[in-house]
Amino acid sequence: MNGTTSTETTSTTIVERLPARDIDLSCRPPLMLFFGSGLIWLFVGTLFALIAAIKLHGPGFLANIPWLTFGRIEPAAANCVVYGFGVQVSLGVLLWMMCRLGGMRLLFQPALCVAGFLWNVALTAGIVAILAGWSTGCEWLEMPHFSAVLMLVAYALIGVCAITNFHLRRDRALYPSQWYILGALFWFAWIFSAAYLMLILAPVRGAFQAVVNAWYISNLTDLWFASVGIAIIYYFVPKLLNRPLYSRPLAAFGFWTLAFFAQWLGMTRLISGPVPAWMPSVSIAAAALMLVPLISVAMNWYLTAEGRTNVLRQIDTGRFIWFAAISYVVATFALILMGHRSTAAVTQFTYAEVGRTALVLHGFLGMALLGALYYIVPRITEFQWPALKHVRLHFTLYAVGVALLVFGLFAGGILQGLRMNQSTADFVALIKSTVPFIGISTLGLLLLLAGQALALKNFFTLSHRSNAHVRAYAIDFITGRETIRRGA
Amino acid sequence: MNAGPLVFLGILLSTALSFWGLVIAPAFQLGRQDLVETGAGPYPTGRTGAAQRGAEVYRSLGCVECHTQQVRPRGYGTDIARGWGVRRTVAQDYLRDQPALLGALRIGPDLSNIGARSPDIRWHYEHLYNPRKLVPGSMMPAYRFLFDKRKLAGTPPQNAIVDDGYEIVPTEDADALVAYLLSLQSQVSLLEAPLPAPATNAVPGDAGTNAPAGDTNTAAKTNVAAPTP
Repeated sequence: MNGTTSTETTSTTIVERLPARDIDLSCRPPLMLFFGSGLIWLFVGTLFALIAAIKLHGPGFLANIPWLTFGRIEPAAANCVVYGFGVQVSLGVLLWMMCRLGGMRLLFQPALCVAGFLWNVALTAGIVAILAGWSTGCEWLEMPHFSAVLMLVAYALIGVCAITNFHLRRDRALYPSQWYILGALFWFAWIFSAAYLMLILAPVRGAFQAVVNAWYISNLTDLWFASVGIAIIYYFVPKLLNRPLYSRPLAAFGFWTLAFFAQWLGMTRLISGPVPAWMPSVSIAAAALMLVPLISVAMNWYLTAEGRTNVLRQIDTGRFIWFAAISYVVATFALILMGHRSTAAVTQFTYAEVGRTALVLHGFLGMALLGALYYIVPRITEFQWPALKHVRLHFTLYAVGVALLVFGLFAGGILQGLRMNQSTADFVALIKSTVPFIGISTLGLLLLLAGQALALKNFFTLSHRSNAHVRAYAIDFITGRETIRRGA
Repeated sequence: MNAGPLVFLGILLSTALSFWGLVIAPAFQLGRQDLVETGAGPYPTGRTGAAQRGAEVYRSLGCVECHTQQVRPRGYGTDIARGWGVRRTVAQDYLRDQPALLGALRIGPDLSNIGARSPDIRWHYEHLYNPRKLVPGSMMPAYRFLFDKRKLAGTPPQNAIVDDGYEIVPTEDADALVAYLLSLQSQVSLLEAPLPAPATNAVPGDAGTNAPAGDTNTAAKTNVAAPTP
């Protein structure tokens, strides 16, 4: 398996692989639903985040509307981006990669569509509930129980369909991306249901809630998002460069070290917090160990693409993937550094933490997902992007936007932390001194929003054309007229 | 690694280990905590009805997005030097909190002990209505929607702010929120977090502002006051 990209290989198949076109077309209905709604959520989430950021410049901005108060719009923004865009588009991309790698059609499209619909309904209810003040108060789990339970049902449906698809794959050989996909499908179910159960449905007491919450958030960002992003990068780098993966054993090593180390990171959030001291200590050690999966994954990517990164950067999808890979390395380095006790004394409770989350969410996962989305959609609909230059422009806006957003938050956060640790620094003055940096990140968010708008327009123009085409095709089919040829 | 079930078993094992280590094991330690007996009755003291409802308002408005409720230990950060607490906060302090709103970001000051630092009820009403009047340059939004502004007619209610011919009357939510804020104090001496030895100098004079309170080694107060109104 080492000698091929494995993404298109037929060497070890028992049953014949299906042609790529058949696979792609079978994915169309659920994936268009996941991607379309995901892009809308990304736009809405960025808009909310922008409103929240403006409030950090002038507390008077929209201050008299309870629904838009900072404490509500901020978690609403996070939930839109995490569950509406991050998780939803991830699931779409995972399903597609799974079918391509397994050489099979996507089964159970109706069930997947129902689940996707349910997910979005639940999420909408949840976001409205947060804005209306029904937040649960637990970070990234703010949506009330009715939404969460529905989301879990939707996820379970998607998960069962995905695992059955996986089980029935035609190409039995597993490519590294598939390990991560399998892990991701299982991990989300476990962490989301366990955290909701222990925090909202049957809440544990006191400070223990903070432990469960920290465990959940860290698993979602540094395990789940990492798995999805890594799976996408492992899939696309060899594929776009038409080269074999550098080393499969190295990939396996990276996968298992990630699986066994990344799930212990959570308590770095509670360094010096009101929990027994051994807990943060365990997580600090785990953070240092993250260097191992980071190096193995980064080396594997780098050696696969060695000498041809410029080729990667010339391809639309490749550019997104390349940016995502770099973001992952930077974000994990930041995690390792910020997981240390002495660094955390400065960065804890500051914008720097927010900046790292933004880097993972937008720079790494968002970039990887959008890159994949730009590759997949034309193939599953057989329509080219209406405005190819907008795809490039979206990349530029997104890349510059993420850079500004993350830089502003990190620089502002470090300043905030350093000044906070001088007992003489007046608190109001120190928060004021971060405002120029928040300005930089606000500008970044503005660019993100512009990019998101372009993506939305491009996507829905394409989707509209493709729907019209499918409708015409269906009418011809039903009325018995000769089937028309699909457009290129 | 071509066998799906084997890979899956490994994945299951990795999560089971982490779940055991970081969730189940702490449950044995933290889950067994109970109220402790201090000089002034069992701790943590329960909240009054209004304060309990105020916790819901605090949660609903998302105050936790900007305010932490955890004091870091002496020598780690400057929380105690800032006067945000007289000792670090420990798990015992949160035993009755549902949800426990520890927070993760400080755009505003820590509130673990705001009830002790700012015991004046009127200060809280005025601060919620117009933060910048009391703390110049504050970045906190004004929570005007927690108040009713009416033309002054007759004697204003006791908790109202009178402003230029208008009375600004706190809503039930504002009353509850202030009761909750006043109930926020974690200053009881505990075995795992004893108070520093009582010292001689005066208490910090600028409690209730965002300004640093100077060296609060000297600010040790023993036990909590009775539940606030």
